[in-house]
Order: sequence, then C-alpha cells, then structure tokens
Amino acid sequence: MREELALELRNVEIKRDGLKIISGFGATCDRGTITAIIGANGSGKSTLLGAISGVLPISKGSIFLNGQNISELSIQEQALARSVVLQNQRYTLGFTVAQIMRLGNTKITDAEVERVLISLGALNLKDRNVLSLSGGERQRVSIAHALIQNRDLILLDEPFAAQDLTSREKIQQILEDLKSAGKTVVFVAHMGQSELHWCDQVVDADAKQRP
Amino acid sequence: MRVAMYKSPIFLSFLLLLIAITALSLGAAQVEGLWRTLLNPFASTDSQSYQIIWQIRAPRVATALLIGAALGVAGAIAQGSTNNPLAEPAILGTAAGASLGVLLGVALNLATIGSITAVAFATGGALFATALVFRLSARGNSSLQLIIVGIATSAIISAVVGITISIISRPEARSISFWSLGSLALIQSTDLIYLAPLIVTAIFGAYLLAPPLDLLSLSDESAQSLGLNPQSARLKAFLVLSILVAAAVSTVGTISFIGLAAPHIARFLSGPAHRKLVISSALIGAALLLISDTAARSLVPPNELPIGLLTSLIGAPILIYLVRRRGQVWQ
Repeated sequence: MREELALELRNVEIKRDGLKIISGFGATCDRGTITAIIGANGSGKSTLLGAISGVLPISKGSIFLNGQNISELSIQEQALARSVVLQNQRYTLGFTVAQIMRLGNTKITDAEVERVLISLGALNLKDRNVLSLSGGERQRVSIAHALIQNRDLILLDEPFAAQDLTSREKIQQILEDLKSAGKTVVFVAHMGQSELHWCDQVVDADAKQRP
Repeated sequence: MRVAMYKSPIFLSFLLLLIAITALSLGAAQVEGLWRTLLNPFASTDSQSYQIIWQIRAPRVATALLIGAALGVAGAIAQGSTNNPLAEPAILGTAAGASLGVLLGVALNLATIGSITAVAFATGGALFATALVFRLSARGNSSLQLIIVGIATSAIISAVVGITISIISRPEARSISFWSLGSLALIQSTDLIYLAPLIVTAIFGAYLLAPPLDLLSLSDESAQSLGLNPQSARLKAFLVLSILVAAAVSTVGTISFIGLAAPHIARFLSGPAHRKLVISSALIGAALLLISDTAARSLVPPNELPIGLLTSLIGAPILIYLVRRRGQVWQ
C-alpha cells in the first residue's frame, strides 16, 4: 500500500434492499488532491459517499482511510480522520447556526466559528435559527460544520446543489484552499466533466463499475 | 444574548418553592399557625398542625415534585432520543411497559406496589416495550410511523394489563386498579427513601446524555459522521428513560401528558440544547404535577379528583398556547 494514499476503494460492492447499487468499484485518492464523483441519477454516487463515510455498510470489497481498513476503525476514529457534508442535511431543533457548528466539539471557539463562516461568506447566518434557513443556506451551514472540524479528509455530497453562482465560486475556492493546505477533498457532483476541470480527478460512478 | 429573567432556572426554582409552600398550606384540614409550623419543622412534633404539614402533606408534596421532575425529564429524553416532538413515555410504550412489568412482579409474588423491586420490574418492562416500539417502527425513520406503532403497542399492553387486573382476585387487586388510574394518595414517606436518590441519579444520567441527544437531532447518519454511535446512545437514553418512567409508574401509576407538555414548555424557556432542557423540564414537570396534585386533593375536599384529568386540564392549554405562537423551536 502506498503511504500517500488518503483513500482507497477496492472492488467495492454495495447493496440496498437486496439490490446491487455499486459493484466492483475501485478508486484511489492521493493526499492533497480533489476528486469529484459524478454519475447519472441513481448511479449510486451518494451511496458510495455514504459507504466511504462509514455510515452505509458495504457487501464486498474494502475501503481504506490512510491505509487502514475502515471496518477496523471505530466510529470515533473515523470521525477523527474525516468530516462529512451530507446532502440535504435537515435540522429538527431550533439551534442557532453557531450552536450547530459546536455540536460534536464544544471546545470550538467563537472566533473559529466566525472565521469559517466568513470564508463561506455566511457570517450573517451566525445567530440565525437553523429552522429558518433556505436550502442553500442549510447546505452552507452543513459545509461550515464539516470545515470547522478541521480533518485531513473531507467528504461532501453535492456541495454545489441549491447554490447560486457566487456561492458556487466560494465553495469551489474553499475546496481549492483545502487542497493547498494539504487536505484531501472528495465530493459528489451532479455536473459535467467540463465544469470540473479544476479537480485533480473525476471518477464516473457508472463507468468504474464492471458489468 | 440576554435571557429574560423569568426564563432562568433560578427563577423557576424560586417559583417552585412558592408553589410548594402553597401546596403545604392547602388541603382538606385547616392548619393553624402555618408559617410557625413551616419554619420550625422540629418545634412541636406532637401538635396537629405539625402532623398535617410534615407527616401527611410534605411527603406528598415531595413525591409530586420528584415524580413530576422524573416525568418531565423522561419526556425530554423520549423526544430527544427519537428526534420526534410527539414522543412521550405514554406514546412510546414506555409507561405501558412499566405497568406490565409491575403487574408481572406482583402476579409472580416477587414485588409489591411501591417497592424497589416493583421499580426494577417496571424498568425491565419499560425498556422492553420502548425498544420493541422503536424496532417495529423501522428504527423510528418516520416520525408518524413511530407514533402510530407506539400508540398501538401501548394499547395492546394496556389491554393486557387491564384484563389481568380484572381477573386477579387478590386483595392487591383493588390497589392495583386504583394505581392503574394514577394517584399520589398511595405514597408513603418511606417510599421517598429510595425514590429520591433513584430519580435524582437518573436525572443526572439524563444530564450526562444531553450532548449525544443534541447530536441525534441532526439525524443518525450525521451524528455517526461526527463520531457518535447512534444506536448505543439511544439505548442508553432508553435505559434512563425507562428508569424514570418506572420510578413514576410503579409508585403513582400512569400519569400522562406531563412527559409531553413539560419539555415543550421548557424548550420555550431554555432553548433546544439538552443540558439546559433536562434541568428546565425537571422544574416544569415538578411544577405541573405539584399544581395538579394540589388541585386534585383540595378542590372538592374530602374527595380526590383523578390526577390525570388535572394534569391534562392544566398542561394542555399551556401547550396549545405555546405551539400556536409558532416559535421556531421544533420543526
């Protein structure tokens, strides 16, 4: 195993409700790179990201985080190795954005919360009730929550969905900044190859599967 | 952010103290020298006032405070652990399971109502029923399904309990059927010796479980991605919930509505974070039950009104008022 690999998927098969959604999938991500996973609707892009996040079980194959099989890592160890932005994060309780960003790590300071929100151009959201946020704002808060954990690998499910052009550019800039800081970025996108020229690698969830 | 004075736990505690003093002064018998008796609890132990206040009313007031706090916190945990605003011990099957546990203990001659063994049986029954409801409702994925499965399971268990009580012909049967309607009249001051530490410890457990409950509000997937094992956190929450409900059900029977109303009222006062919510739910639950029980025993003396009717009558209008204000506390 090459030491520099942040993430490796080998021959991964994922079933949901008995149906094979992903089979024979393999990919590698070097440290400090940006990888986009694309594919048609229903190709299992998000399912794949869920499996890398350790939230969805795989039926065959293996996934390695920093050379370690995730099946051998505890939930806490996985959480220390990567952070995740779910697609369509919903909030049920009326926390403020700043309170949400501290969930999971109460040691986070107010200054850190502000710094991350500023980088997303979302400082105005800091004291907003999360139940009053629009879809795009929720997505940015979800990204902010993942960024503030400051992990070496960041997984994002459709970070550009429901964003206007300015926010898209900001998010792209953030992902590129993460890369410059040596972090590894893997995200799922519903976009064409041409829009993703700034990524180091674009993986097609459909094409990588063997029949 | 400045918090309104009336929302602080200190103010709520002070209010609770005033309610408790009022509760001590009210009752079927007239008490002479109320303040003198209250302020000097050891002064004249053989006077009638002393006996009424300290031997009859005080244990009952203390029980109402403890059980009310237990039910309020139980509601907060039920709602937090299932991420469902409608969840409460009576709906999740917890209360019915606790009744079944107590009944089983009594029927097997292993426990008597109000004893610590009854609480142990009730905890087992409560945990079993809650976990069963959660499983049957596809792990609570749909809020509505959880509530429907919970109501149905509670109905089945309650029916079994009711039928069994009707069949039992022992002398306990009468006290069992009285207890199944919910009443604080059966409580004895000796019960408080185990009840108080048990409930206080369980509420402390709930306080420790608060951060995981905050995380569960983001969804299981999200909580797991942040390093929490949602299943194990929920199981711990169900255990604390079961102990609290068992302590209540095995001593005073099933008292509904406080578990639903107290956390909702508390959220308007202290916000959604579970640390503060546990404390304010305990205070609100204690106040609701104490007011209800005092009304139950002093509105039409010497008769006692069923406590469940009064908890609904007092809690429900407050709940409706708060929900109609549409504060953004729960979606």
